[in-house]
Amino acid sequence: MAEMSSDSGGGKKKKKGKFILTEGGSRAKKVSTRVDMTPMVDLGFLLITFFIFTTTMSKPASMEVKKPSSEKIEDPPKVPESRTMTIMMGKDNKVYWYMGINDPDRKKIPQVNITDYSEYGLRKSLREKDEAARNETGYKDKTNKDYASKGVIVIIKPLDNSTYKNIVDVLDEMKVTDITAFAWTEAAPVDLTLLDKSGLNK
Amino acid sequence: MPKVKVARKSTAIDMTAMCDVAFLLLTFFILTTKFKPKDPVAVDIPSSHGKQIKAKEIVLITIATDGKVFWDTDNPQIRQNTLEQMGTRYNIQFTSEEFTQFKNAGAVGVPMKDLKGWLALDADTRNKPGNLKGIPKDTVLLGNELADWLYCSKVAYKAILDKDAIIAIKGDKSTDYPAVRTVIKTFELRKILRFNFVTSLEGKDETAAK
Repeated sequence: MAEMSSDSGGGKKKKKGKFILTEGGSRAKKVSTRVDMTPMVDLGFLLITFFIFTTTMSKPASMEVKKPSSEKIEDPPKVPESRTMTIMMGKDNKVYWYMGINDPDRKKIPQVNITDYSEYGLRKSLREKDEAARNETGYKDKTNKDYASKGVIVIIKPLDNSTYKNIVDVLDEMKVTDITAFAWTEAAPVDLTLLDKSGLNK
Repeated sequence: MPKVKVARKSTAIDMTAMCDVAFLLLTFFILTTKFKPKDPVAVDIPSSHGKQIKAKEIVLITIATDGKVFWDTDNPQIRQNTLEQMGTRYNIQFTSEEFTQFKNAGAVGVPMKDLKGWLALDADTRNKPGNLKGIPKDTVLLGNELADWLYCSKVAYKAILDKDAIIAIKGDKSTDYPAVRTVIKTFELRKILRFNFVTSLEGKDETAAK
């Protein structure tokens, strides 16, 4: 199409030249002043499209977070230890997690694992633990109304030397692995001593 | 009988009218688009997969790398209403000139006592590092100006849009957790337990690959 229009343009020019050169020509042929507007229309609409897209695309996307109220609940629901997973975010993008409850009065100290935020790190552990918890409770049917609370229960505790990105990453993993029973709280002193004892987060 | 001459009609359509329409629309779009005021600090937001929500009107709390906090919202009416309330709370009288400046100022990150002086500056010098102190924040309500900003914008949002405010946090990837914690503690003090994290969308194929 481009070639065609340039051809015709060239043709017109030649004619024009010819008539100007004619000496003593009694009548100069009228040259059409019409310009082909098609490319200009194309350009106009292209710019419109560009403006529409760039203005609507600049709205930020966001993920929703629900935080439990920090007020003390009188009678907290009993959480089975074997299904409780505590995740702590430490420095240099490291994640520490353990199963069960960390109570210094007990003899059994939970085993702390180190992992990272990759697909084969935290996500794999979460999937494994969720599956194990579901095997234990027998709730595997997603349509069951108790489904959400019968998988693994995750407690997220960011440590002081973690970053904002770490929180977003962990909350995002919850979405990806479809775990809805999770809570975000502050790390307790006993958690810090547990990490110290294990020689981690230094 | 003479032959009937079929007049040859040109297939070329006069594009002038269409061109006029195209440029008229273009002019309209250019003129109605309001440029976003420059962000006071560069914030590198983290990415996430999950469900992404696109909200039209949000109250945005930006946390910079160094923990400084900024307040921002796009709606000029909410901005005006919030400033009116803040002025009453802190006993500061703002002139109509200052209200106009405030509506177009973009993100606000100065203590209330400096706000008048900050609004008197021109748009370029406002965002110079020395002029951005961040909104004072704390884990208690006393002296926590961020809590007042949140409260006032919540009330303003309700009054103007008749909806519960959508409040979002925009943090830098490398912002330390203690700074984030202080902001979230303030949210809790103001009974804001549902909020959003502004993130960019990560590749969808990753989510599919389970």
